[in-house]
Amino acid sequence: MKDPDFTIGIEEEYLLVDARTLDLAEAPEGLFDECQARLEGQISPEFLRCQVEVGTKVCKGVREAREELTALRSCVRDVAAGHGLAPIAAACHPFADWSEQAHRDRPRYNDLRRDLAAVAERMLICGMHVHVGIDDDDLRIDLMNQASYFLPHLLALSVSSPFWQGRDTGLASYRLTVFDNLPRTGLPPRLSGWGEYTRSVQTIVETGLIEDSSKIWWDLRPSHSYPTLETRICDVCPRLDHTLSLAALTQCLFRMLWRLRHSNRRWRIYDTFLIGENRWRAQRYGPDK
Amino acid sequence: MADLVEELVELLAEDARALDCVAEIEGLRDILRDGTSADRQRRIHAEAKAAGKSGADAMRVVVADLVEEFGAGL
Repeated sequence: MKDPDFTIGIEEEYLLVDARTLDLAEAPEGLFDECQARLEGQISPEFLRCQVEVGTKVCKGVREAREELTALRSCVRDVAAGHGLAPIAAACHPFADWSEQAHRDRPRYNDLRRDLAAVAERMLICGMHVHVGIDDDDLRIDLMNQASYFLPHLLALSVSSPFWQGRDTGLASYRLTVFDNLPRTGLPPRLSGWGEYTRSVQTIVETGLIEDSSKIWWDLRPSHSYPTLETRICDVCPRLDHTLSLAALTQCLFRMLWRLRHSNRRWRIYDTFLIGENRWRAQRYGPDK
Repeated sequence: MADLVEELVELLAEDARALDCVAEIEGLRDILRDGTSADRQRRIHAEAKAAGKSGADAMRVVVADLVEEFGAGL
């Protein structure tokens, strides 16, 4: 088996606000054209018109990812400023009303809206995803099973959504309560290997309910598009340094688990029920309890 | 969770060196020291209220700080 290269890629979702009133604001199409001209293919619209998604290229490590994210954040900030807007990297806007937001009129988003109804319309939330390059299919599943234990840790350190619709929710990550309303979310199931994963996905695809695994939104999943494991549990972080620390943590955890395997050891597999309890406590309290 | 972060920093020290991200792994301690974003947002909201802002205006102060944090270090 070829050793993994542990390359990383980071995706962040941002919300746009009016720079003067600080209310949530829609992104004009011109904003994306300008961003595309500067950083082609790395900045894209999202389901809601007030949302922007950025993604780094494949990076050798966090040092390179820092350069990439600095350029991406700078580009979004500068272009948005030209339209009287400003981006924020928080998992929820503290006082916006989800029912007043417009979604983008594109086939993929219209399908989501049709399939998911009000659940999709409430998705006024932003996450941060980290991809880690692990070429071998079965190794990805083996490491996914073990890494589940650490998902609540990642969430606890990232929490950025205490407020929702102008109220203190009492939670540290309200975003996850909204996201969990989607189907095919939460902790990943324990799987025996790549074969079981692909058979399970194929079963749903053959029913015609989803077209591919890109509509599986577990906290940690094998990417549909790349030979990577993708963590999706984190709230997006306002501070770039914190994003990079969490990306480094994700990358190092996978390398540590691979290192254990090399010496014929492994991380203890805990029941998903118990990890789920940690997940709830991270969502409720962050790192405090 | 401070103990847990210390354990992680120690557990992953070899990996952080191999992957050239020692500073970022040690930076996990900063998240606990300064508070998570959820902590900071609540703190700013409480300070704005204590300074006499209404609940709605205090929320705008929180968003203004989020705008500021987005650009920090760029």
